[in-house]
Amino acid sequence: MNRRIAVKHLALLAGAAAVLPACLSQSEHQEQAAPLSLAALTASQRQLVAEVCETLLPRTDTPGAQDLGLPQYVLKMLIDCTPVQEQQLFVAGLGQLDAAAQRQQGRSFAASTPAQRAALLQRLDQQPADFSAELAGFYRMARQLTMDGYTNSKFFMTKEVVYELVPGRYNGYYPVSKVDLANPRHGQS
Amino acid sequence: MANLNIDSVKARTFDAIVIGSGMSGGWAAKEFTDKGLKTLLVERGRQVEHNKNYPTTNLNPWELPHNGKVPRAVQEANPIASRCYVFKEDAMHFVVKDAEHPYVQEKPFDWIRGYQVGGKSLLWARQTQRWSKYDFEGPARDGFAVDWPIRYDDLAPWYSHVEKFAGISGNHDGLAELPDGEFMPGFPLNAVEDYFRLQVQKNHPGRHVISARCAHLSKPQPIHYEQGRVQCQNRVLCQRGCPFGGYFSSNSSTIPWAQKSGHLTLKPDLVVQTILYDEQKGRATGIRVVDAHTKATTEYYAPVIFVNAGALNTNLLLLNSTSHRFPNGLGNDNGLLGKYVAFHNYSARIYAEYEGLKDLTTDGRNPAGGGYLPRFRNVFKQETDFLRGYATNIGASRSFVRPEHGLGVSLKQQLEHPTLGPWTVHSGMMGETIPKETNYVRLDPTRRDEWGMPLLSVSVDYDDNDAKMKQDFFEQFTDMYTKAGFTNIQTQDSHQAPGLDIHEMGGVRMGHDPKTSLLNRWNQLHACPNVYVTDGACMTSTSTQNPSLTYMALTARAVDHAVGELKKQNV
Repeated sequence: MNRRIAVKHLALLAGAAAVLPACLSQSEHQEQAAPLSLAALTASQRQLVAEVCETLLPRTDTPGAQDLGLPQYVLKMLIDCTPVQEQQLFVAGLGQLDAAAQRQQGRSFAASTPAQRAALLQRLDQQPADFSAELAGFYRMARQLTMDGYTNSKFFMTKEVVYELVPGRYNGYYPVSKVDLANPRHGQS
Repeated sequence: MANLNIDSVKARTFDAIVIGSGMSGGWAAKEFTDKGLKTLLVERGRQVEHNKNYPTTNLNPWELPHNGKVPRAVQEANPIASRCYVFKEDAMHFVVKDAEHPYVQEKPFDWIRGYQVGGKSLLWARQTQRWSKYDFEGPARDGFAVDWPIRYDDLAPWYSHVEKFAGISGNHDGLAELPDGEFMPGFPLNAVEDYFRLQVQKNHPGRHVISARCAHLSKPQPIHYEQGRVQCQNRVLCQRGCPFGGYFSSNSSTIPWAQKSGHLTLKPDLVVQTILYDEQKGRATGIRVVDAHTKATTEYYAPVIFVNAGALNTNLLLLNSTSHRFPNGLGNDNGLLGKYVAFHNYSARIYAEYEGLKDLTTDGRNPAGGGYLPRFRNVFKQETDFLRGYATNIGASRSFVRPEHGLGVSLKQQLEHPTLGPWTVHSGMMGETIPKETNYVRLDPTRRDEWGMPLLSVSVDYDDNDAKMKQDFFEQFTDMYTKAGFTNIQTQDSHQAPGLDIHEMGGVRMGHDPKTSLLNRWNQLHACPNVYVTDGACMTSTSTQNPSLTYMALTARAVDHAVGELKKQNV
């Protein structure tokens, strides 16, 4: 089973590798490569992004990345708001994730246990120089966008660090001792 | 048929025409209608009605599709607008898109515009400071531009007049270089801004950090409730339009007020092409407009015309208003129309951290933004190797620490239970620039926009005086920050083009002498006195204050004069 999935992902990786040089050679001829679209991402690629997001911010006693729709947020921000060069870096790094998982634990990222996934991302987090620029770049962007999505989510802004649309007050000398760090408010930073 | 035409002309004839509904045009409309004049207010952009056309005003951050960021395709299509700090997802619908309204940059110039009812008054930073006598005396004392034909005392009562109505918060600081006004309570400095105030007071006599003065209702008065405005609720989402009317805009204040009088006719979506001049009568008689959508042209008539199109567009309109008598633009006998344009130098900032006062933070939000240090260079006498000086805004804040590394359960916990970082401090220079004949706007000789207006060609640049002043800002603030015990001091030269300050001024300057200026002391064109210019175009020099309050006061004063002249049948 694992081997089958691994083979499937290897094929995907090969596909990405086949597509990438074409993109790059295109960018030599044109001023700018075409921006990424959602349709250009395969279902497996999207699933892989979702698994990475969930590993970054897993479900605990509070909702996890997938509960909050963060994979969709990450892809939307990647597609709509990210410079094309960084999009290319992201997709290239995403394409290398399974190979890195294979090297580290002998199975694809999807087939890995949550702990194995976390261990791989932990190494990417702590020792990015051990990995290719694409993979390190992918991780950095995925982490940033996932955190942005989380701290900007309705859940986070109503239950964790509370955003007030209408504060109706300003105190420039507010004692830190009075800030409830378990449930601080936006205006208290 | 003849009767029909007469009726039609009658329907298109008013006591006063005001061109432009932004900061100053809204005031002209209010003042005219208060005095009972039947007033036409024309606006080239679309209608934006208070509390009806603020589509993003009550959106929570998570309800903005892109977390407030401007999508890449929009940014790429709008490199100029994208450099403006209000061009974010929640307010970009109030900023002119690059391709819709092209202009020519002989030198780099970021022209930021808001084509809608209310203009940029919806979007402004709401900072309001009076000019002092030293500002009006500046050009004469230092030998640049021409002498202002008015002094502080001429404008002081009109500052009071507009402050009471607009609603200005601030403290009575008693500074000669920044006169006090009609204030509601100021928004307080926070712990570190206040600490910096005391440090500057101790280490640098003559420099006064004060609470920023701003057009927010900190303690509304009956006149504000009468406008339908209530107390500022510290949302600090002003650029979306405020449902409380907590800050002053034409949309929340002057325009609905004028409408209530029953004397106002507001016509959006009309681009004024030219001011009509009658050679026999020797005065302007009206305007020709083109419908922004149908492109149909119409004429409107009035005995007095106020031009409040926004500084550079006012230049454009006057330059395009040619006649046998004025082949080079209305009132332009001396060839100086469009010249001596100036702006504010906003290209320098300085940042630092402060490790002290960690037991304090802020709660809520401050609409004033923080502190303000009025100009302290060359105020009472010339003392540096550059002319004039700079005011500075000052802000301090703390942020929750964003973990740089980590993932999983521990990252989640760190985000959910954040720790406060150190105080960070920032200051931005607001430098006076010297108007020069070589900084000008003119009409492009061939290209026109789709409303038949020539494209405006802009040639405005910094000079050596600006460079020296910026150097001084960096040196003085590094010194002030260092003496205050701030650390990790970083200077930042943005190298931004003129225009991004959104304080472009001049081109139709006031002065005593028709040979060297376009407007007299009442903002009338010397050569066509029934046309008044009271927006940024009229400014003889820029000083360092945020200009809107001065435009408001000049406008109210000029309307009072115009109504007097109409009664005396002088115009």
